Amino acid sequence: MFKRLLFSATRVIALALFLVSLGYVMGSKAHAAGLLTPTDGSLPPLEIGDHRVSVVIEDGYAITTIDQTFRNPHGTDLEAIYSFPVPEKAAVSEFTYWIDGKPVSGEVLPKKEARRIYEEEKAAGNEAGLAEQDSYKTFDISVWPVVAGQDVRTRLSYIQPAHVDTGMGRYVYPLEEGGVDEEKLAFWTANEEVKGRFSFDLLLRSAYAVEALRLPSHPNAGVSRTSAGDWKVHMDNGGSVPSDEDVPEEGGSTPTATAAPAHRLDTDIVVYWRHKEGLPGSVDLVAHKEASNKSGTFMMTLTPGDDLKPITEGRDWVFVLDRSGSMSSKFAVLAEGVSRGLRKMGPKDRFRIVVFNNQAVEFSSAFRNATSENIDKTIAELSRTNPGGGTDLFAGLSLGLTRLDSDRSSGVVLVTDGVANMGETRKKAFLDLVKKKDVRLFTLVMGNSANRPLLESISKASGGTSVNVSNSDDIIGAVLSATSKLTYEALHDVKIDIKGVRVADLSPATPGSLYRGQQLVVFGHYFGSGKADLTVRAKVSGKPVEYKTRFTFPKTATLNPEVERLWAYAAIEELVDEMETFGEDADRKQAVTDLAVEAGLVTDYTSMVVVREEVFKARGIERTNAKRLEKEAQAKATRAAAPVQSRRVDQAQPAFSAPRASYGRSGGGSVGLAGLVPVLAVGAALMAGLRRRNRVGLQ
Amino acid sequence: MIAQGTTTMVHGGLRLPWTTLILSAVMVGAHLLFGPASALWVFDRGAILEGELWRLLSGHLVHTDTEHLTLNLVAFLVLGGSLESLLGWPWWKHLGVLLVGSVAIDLAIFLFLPGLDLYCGLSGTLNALLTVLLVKGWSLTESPLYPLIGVGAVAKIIVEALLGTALFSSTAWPPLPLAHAAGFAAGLVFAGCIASTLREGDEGLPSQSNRGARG
Repeated sequence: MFKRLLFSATRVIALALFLVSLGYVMGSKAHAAGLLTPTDGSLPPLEIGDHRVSVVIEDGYAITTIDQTFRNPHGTDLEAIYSFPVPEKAAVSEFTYWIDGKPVSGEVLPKKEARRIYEEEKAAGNEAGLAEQDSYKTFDISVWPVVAGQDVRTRLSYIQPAHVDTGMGRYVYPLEEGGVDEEKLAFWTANEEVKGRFSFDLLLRSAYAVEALRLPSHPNAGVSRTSAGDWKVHMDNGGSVPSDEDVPEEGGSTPTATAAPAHRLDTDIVVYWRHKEGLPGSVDLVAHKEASNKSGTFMMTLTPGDDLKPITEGRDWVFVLDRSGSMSSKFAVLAEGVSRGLRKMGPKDRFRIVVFNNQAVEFSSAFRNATSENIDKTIAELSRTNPGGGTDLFAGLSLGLTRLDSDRSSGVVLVTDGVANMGETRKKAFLDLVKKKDVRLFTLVMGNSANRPLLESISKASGGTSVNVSNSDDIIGAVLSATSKLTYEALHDVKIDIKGVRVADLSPATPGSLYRGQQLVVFGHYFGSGKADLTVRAKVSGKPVEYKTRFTFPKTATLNPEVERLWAYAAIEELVDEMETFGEDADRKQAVTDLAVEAGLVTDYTSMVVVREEVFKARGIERTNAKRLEKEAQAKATRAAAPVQSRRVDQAQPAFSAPRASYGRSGGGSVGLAGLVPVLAVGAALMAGLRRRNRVGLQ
Repeated sequence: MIAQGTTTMVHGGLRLPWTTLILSAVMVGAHLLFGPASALWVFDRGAILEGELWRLLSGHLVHTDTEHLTLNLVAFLVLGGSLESLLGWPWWKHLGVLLVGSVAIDLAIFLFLPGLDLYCGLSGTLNALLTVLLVKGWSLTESPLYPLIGVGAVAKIIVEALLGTALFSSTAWPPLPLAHAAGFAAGLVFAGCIASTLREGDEGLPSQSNRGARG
């Protein structure tokens, strides 16, 4: 009894420490999006005037538009360089620079060529802008000149798929940097303060009912619901913030806000939305095909029904945890998440804990049974772990993959926020390592600066999956959500077969595994139109399963031209993944460049350059992206004017018989406004009775 | 008895519902200090099975977001305030209803929803309070208003169960109509257990017999 009390007390203390550390995490944001200035003080810092973010989430993808001004309070003309973390699977589609008061959008060119043109124009004293990608780390925007004492205005837009997992949608506007790029940090310092207006507006339009929407790190944001699936979010830095309509597209100055305190771009904005329980499993199709074209592009989203069973036999789990220096502010929260995950284990399960920085060590030489005593002991050991040093990810993973019992099924949970910067760092070596073992790797990628491409690749190669977690997320919830996937069967070796209409260029070509609650998004091209038969084949615990439906590919579809960019981005991602695995070759590099230029996407191999219209003409640069933007703007306006449309295509012949998966947690339901009716009625009845009694008593 | 009942009134004013106010302060404090759905307080099946038994009760005092807390708090102030101020129930009787309601919901989750890991919120327990007040009100006055309100409350629970959602509510976590039903049933059981005292008009409201006596 005393021992039990002691354990409980230990847990309470551990949780109290966790809460304190959580406060520390929230308060320690060292790196952020912002305007870069050399750390040596050779140039004076510019200021961010306004920063206005507008997000529209509809039809399975999000379009984020950032309008901002850079201000030069100094006496000489300066160059502005704005840097921000690469959002997950974001395809930058627009970079616009206001020249002579008029917006001029950029065109995508091979990276070196774009940089050369920018430098030439800058040297000639002409206005120029450049948007570049620095691998998986940042997007960097350069603008020349910010004239002494004046402002320049820019706009950047990017598109990214908006997935839903286990009934929960999630959007992140990333601002916080992970602080893992030491070279960049040594050279630049970021000014993340918005001196003028800051605003964030999000519009969610969903044909599937959305019951709740929240921003865990921004509880004061204004959230309103306009219909069953439509929600709006607004926040700003106070004062009178003009709406989009107040900002002129051409000429004139933007209205100024009043009494707006400075806002720091140092905290990710994370938005969650929860779909109604019991929605059906579904197949949704968003297509783009112009009447004059023989082929179209599609995005097909499969949301399987919840027919996967919980796993009851004992399993072995290895937690491989990054304790490098960059994890110091997050490790306590992570440890709590892991300890909560351990408590979810069944009595037949076993676990090991490996931690790594410059080297990898583990808490025990053998698997521990998931007993209360062992879990408490492990939590205590985790709480004594001090983060510091570099990141030898390979050493951690290698140690985690040793001593696995071939008679039991095993899973490895890898949690890291950084880059592999010590020991073996080649992607091929990682892939070879995980392929040697019959074990699934589940990766939790913390923060915005981790090497997501590497971690996603090795997770997928093992048949596992990876999840991105922001510091503004509910981190413990994210850890629990990820680990809960491991306790259910999964669809493995998923294959997509479409007959009746010819399809090509499917991405992903090999979908791999699909875990409980996950959606599968497939991009591709189709030729012609008409009825098509879709068959999804997979294996569940070695047994084959099949899901079938029939739907129509449209003859023309012009409401979602952005799908072309999304397809191109997915295809590029696969090509880049191949290059990182097998080495860069001229053919693949050229294919990526061609695709990115055609679709107007900023990648590691292409950049977007803005020059004066006459310079575009003089240099013979075609305005293909400008035409694409025009088409997209028209489609966006048409969508906005119409009610939200269902994209579900399997109503007539549902592919999945069970409803979608949802989280095993509940708020009990507030009494709700409807519940207040009987409550207030009984209160009123009792009060009336009391008054009557008083009257009787007074007589 | 009437005299004892009138002690709940102080020169025409109502007695302060201390239990209700203290519990309300705890709920607000937990929300402000530990944040929404505090990991330390929520009903967590795994943690409870590992010995963290306080969660069986503390889970009912924390809420997923401000709307969840606000609506439940308003309802609790009305119901708890009525029990304490209007009916003059002592703190231990008030806590008794809350305890029985909470335990009934915990049991229902363990027995009928093995896949539900996390739960929080007071709404289920509020249904227990509501039921007790309805039975008590009807016992004392035999007014048809109370059964009518009861039918409305049951209809709401049934509609929510059929729709799988709470009406006019959008909390961060999905609603659980079973909790409302379990709370309502627990309230009936509690009222049944103290049936002998329900018709006593010693707690503020005039019973039929009292009114007759006053004639």
